[in-house]
Amino acid sequence: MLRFVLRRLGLLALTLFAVSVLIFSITQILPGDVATMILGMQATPQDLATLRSQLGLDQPAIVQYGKWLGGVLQGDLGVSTRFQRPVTEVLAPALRNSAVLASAGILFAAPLGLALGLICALRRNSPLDYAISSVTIFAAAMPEFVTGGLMIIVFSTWLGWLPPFAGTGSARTLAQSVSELILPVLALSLVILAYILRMMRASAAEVLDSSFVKAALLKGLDRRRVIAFHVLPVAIGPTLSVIALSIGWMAGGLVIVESLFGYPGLGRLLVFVIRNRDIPLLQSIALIIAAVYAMANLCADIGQRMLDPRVGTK
Amino acid sequence: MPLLEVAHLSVDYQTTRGRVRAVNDVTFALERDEVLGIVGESGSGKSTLAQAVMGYRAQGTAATEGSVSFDGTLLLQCRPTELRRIWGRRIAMVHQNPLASLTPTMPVGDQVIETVRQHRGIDAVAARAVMLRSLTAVNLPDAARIAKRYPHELSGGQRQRIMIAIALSLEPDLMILDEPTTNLDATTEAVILDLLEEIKGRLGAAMIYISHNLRVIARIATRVAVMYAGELVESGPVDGILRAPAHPYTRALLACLPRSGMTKRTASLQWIEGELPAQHLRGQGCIFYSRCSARTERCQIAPEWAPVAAGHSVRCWYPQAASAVAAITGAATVGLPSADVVLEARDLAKNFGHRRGAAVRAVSDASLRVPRGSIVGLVGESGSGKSTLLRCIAGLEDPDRGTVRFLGVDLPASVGKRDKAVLRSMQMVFQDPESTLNPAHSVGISLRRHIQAMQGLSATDAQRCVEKALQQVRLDPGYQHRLPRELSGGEKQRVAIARAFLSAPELVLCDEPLSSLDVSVQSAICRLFLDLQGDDHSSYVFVSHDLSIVRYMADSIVVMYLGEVVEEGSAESFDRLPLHPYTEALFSATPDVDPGAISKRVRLQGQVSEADKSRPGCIFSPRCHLTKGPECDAIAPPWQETSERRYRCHWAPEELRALQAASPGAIGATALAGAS
Repeated sequence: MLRFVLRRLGLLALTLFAVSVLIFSITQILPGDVATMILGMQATPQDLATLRSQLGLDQPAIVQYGKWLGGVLQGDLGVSTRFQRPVTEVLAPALRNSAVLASAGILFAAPLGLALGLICALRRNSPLDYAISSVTIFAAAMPEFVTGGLMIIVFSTWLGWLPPFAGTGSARTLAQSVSELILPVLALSLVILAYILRMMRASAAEVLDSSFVKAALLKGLDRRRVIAFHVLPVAIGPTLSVIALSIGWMAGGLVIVESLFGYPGLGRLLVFVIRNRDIPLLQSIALIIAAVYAMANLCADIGQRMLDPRVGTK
Repeated sequence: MPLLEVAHLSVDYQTTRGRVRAVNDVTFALERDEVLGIVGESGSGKSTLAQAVMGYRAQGTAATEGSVSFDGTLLLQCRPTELRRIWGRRIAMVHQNPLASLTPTMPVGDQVIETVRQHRGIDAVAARAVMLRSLTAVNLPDAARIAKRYPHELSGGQRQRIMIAIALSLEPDLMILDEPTTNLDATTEAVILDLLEEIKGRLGAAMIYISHNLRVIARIATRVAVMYAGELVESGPVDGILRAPAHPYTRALLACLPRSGMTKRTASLQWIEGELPAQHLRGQGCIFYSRCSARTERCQIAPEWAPVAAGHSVRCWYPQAASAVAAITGAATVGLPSADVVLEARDLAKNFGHRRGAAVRAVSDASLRVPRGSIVGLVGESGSGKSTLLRCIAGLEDPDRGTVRFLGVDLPASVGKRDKAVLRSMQMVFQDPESTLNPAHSVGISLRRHIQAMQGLSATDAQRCVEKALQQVRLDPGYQHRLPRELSGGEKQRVAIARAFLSAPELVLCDEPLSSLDVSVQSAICRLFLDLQGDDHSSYVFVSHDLSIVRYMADSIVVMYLGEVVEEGSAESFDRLPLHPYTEALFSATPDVDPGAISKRVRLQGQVSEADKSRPGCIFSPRCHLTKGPECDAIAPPWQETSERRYRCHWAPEELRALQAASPGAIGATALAGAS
């Protein structure tokens, strides 16, 4: 197991290195000159040249990449060209806010999806199964800005139960923050809830039909024991990778949901950064998203191995 | 009062194509010390019956009628909580395919413990003691270590022992065993059957033993019920059923099986024409009507049970209890092997790379010689390398060493580099016809493509060939428009054989061509092979784990163990001692349907182990019952020659014959005669 984790961590580092190369190359190819962006269209060629040599933009790409990577490895992500502050300083609060939103989404969607999926599998083809399945498919079929918009209309405009925006700041009480987060979390996690549920339903249904579950029942075991010790460990395995994939999916969702609710997180920052060609910030955000995604997959694989001793032995 | 009384039990399934009756009007009773064997082919409903007898409603069950009374309790009327108190504790089930029936994520010891705790309500320490006792009772040495393993870390035999240990742990009154030894090697099967007999004696539990294999049933059961298309057609004491079968189906089934000493030169095997009647074609009459050779108009009315002897009754209008199964004499084939050699494989060796670095030797220095017009039977347990050897000859695996000489020419190792002419003359028939036929292509297209690729014929010529080939395997020309899914297993294998024979091959390599087929179809395919051989004078290498079939079919037999050839010689000489100790164990593991056939019990210890291959001495000595000790462990055994056979062993023929003849019993009636 330890060897597996170490090997996978090595692979993870390799993946992230490849991603960093890719990100850097793309930002090189992107149209638009950073110096012009900063100084504006009216800048003299001389000013531009000075700024370029200050920023190191006149050096070969490989040297620029080496410097950047060296900085990243030491925790120095560079200076935001737009904010004129270190990237880490700009990123930290946005990252924290998004982490809160995304974890709340996963913590809401994963257990609920697993539970509902199991219920659907146990009551296969019953009215309850059909009801749960159709509601979630309906929810999953709509993009976040539609579900989010609908929820704002229903819960904020009509019912007035929840605020249509979500901010952060010390002035808020905990209750305030929580009530502001409910709608964005729901909008963010409905789609992945549906994915997790569908996967769990299929996986649990297959396990429920398997010979070993029949054998366990025919040993006279309690139904609850059979579900907890014979069905769940086997059924959750494949669902874990779907949960990991949905964490990647969430990066896209964050952009939409945070913009919709005016929430100061990574997604909204990303939109702003792209619009303003803030290359150092853009590179860092892309790298963070890739790292989170790769880590999530690693965790899913480790989880699968822990649940099912067969994984990796064949 | 009997322990179990089943009356008029019927089970319907709901399928997408409507309701299907899987079990129809089954009635039987079981006494407390009885072992009832239920024998039936695939689709006979025997597994459904086993579950229904426990009161278990399988997924998709639409209705269960009739009654099941277990020790006075009506199981079909029980609430789930009541059933749970009976399941596991009073009725225990041992399932087919233990790998699928044990939970993969739980150590096997825990799977015993949870059953014990559920029913006894004792603490974990006490339950663990019961578990260790049960594991020891099923002859699993080092129980504490095995208990920690997961199912996939155990061998097939060990897994089935665990299943039996779970069933045993609560000393049930009734054990239901559903094909418990199917998919196990012959030697493992024999050991499990010994274990079950021992348990029966010790525990005094009643057993219902379900199998498609009459030989196994004959060994273990005291009474036999024969099931066909969801109905019981005959029931009686095991001797009565085997010696004087009364139902035409039972008689036909027995005639499908080669007996010991029966060869293709002395007797023909029978088979049952037709197939299981489709649901909508099952009328009011006798269920066997459509396939019965003795049917009359009266049979259109369902027959009642009629007694033919004490405790022996049959559901037929014309019970013929007196007539035993007539051995069908007359040679099945006239083809005689000639002197020239079609195939000569020399010193083939194949290692498979392994993740941990050590290579797995699948085949080490095996040689094989096939005279023209002969059938060479290749036998051995799983892992013996027989399939790999075949695939090396076919060029599907690149051997590491060795040569394949075919029709006097050395062949390139890989099939891709071989001439079309070679491909045409060397064809292969695989174990599973299901996966060798393209499901999207009709039979005609599959065959036409094959012949066109092989011989570049015009469309009309190819068409003519296809029709002729179908005729050869006794399929109507109309079959060329059918898709594989519209064929039965036997028909699919016929198509696969037709495809192999399209190019009039000199040599056909058959890799377990019968093992996915029902007994009644197996013998028909055997007959087909023999007829085709008679017509074309082609040669076969015939791989099978079913020794009785190989002994019936083959002209010469090659026995493999752990990738090495340990014995080879003419087929009929295997009736006579001495035999290589491994061959002796393999033969004695195959039960016979002849009641009273003396079968010697040679049982192998331990399991096939990869580690044995790298031993300096005899690879078989760790499991050998006749081992000489240090000599066998240290020195590779020489080939010992007799006039008709040769084997690798330290025992010289005279010594070995004396040893084997002296031990109690002998390998079977014929072997006994040969030895005396």
